[in-house]
Amino acid sequence: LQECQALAEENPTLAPSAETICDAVRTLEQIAKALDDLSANARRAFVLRHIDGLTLVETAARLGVSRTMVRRYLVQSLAACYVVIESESE
Amino acid sequence: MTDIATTAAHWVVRLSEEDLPPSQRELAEYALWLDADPRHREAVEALSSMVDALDDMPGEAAASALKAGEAVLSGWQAAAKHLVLFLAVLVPLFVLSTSNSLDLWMADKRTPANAWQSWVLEDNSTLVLSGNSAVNVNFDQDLRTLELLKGDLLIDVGHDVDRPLEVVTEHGRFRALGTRFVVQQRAEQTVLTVLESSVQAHTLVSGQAAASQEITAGEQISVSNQGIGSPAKIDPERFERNWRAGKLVVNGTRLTDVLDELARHHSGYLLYDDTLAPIEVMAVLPLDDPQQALELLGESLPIDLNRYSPWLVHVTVSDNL
Repeated sequence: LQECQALAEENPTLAPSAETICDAVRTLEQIAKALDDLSANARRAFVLRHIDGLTLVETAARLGVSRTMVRRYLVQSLAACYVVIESESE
Repeated sequence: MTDIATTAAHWVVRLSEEDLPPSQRELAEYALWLDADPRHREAVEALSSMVDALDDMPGEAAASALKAGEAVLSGWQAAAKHLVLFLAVLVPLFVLSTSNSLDLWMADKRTPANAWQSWVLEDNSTLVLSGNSAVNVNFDQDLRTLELLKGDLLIDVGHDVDRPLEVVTEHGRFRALGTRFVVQQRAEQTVLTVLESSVQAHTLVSGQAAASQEITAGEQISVSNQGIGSPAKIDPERFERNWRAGKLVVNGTRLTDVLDELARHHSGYLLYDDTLAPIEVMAVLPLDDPQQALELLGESLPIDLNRYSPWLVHVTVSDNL
């Protein structure tokens, strides 16, 4: 995403937008990368909980699994995200 | 490392369960773990801020698109696209509120991204603006001035011996000598194309680069802070036809220059960089339909179009080379 930064620097008037979008795209790409290696259910749990904003109980109902299972999925996905965020910030 | 990540993730998940608050025993355990190693706290903070950012983002995106028909998410890709779509809608509002675009909003005549429009002015001059252009019309007793704030204009000058007509841009002044011409303002330069009779072009800078030159029909020049470029020959009739039809005709032009031009007419964002510069383009592209123009480029060139939303397209060199 170096091109994003270059674009942001070249266009001072566009900078806030390009920068904001780049940051978001970067975050999303990191997360997407992290979620790629997980099971489909873990990905869905993450999306339902954090993108759709469902509660843990609602997420469990939607997926048809137990509360404990949803917890496990969410821990897996967050842990994977943290590993990616850490490795990219080093 | 993985242990820290997993434990931190466990606490972030556990502490976010509104319907089941942690017990005193769990809180004590959490406090102990936090204090055991500064990396523990860092991990929890990094994850919490990521989750908070996500929770803040999608509100309206979800409302607009995700919830449509209670669609089951097809996966992460779909969610990511909606998030970016949300940003692409929000962010332009932010830019509008912070940049110098107030001047553009206040302009006398302005056009949206891909709408060509024409007006007959009080002196019977015909003014045509291309998409995403803006102009101030200042007519007084001695001079008729068109201040081109951005974009392209074509002017067919109405006859008025007492009041010369001038187009002014950031880079130059163009005085009509009874005539018809096109002025295109870009970031670094202004391009003048004379379709009939002639125009006197002046740079706006003082010093060595200051210059003045008469440009005649069938000639095109660029004026920048470095002075006036040497004139190129064009076919006035064809140039005008293509310009009016919103066609961009390029012949061995660098792809990045073509994308610069498309980006001007695109109501969203085009992301691209100089790795595309070596690619040369020969094409006739519809500027009034930038999406289609991008499709045409995508079909004929070794590039990939990554669409995050209709408003955000990332153009990259194709991987399949």
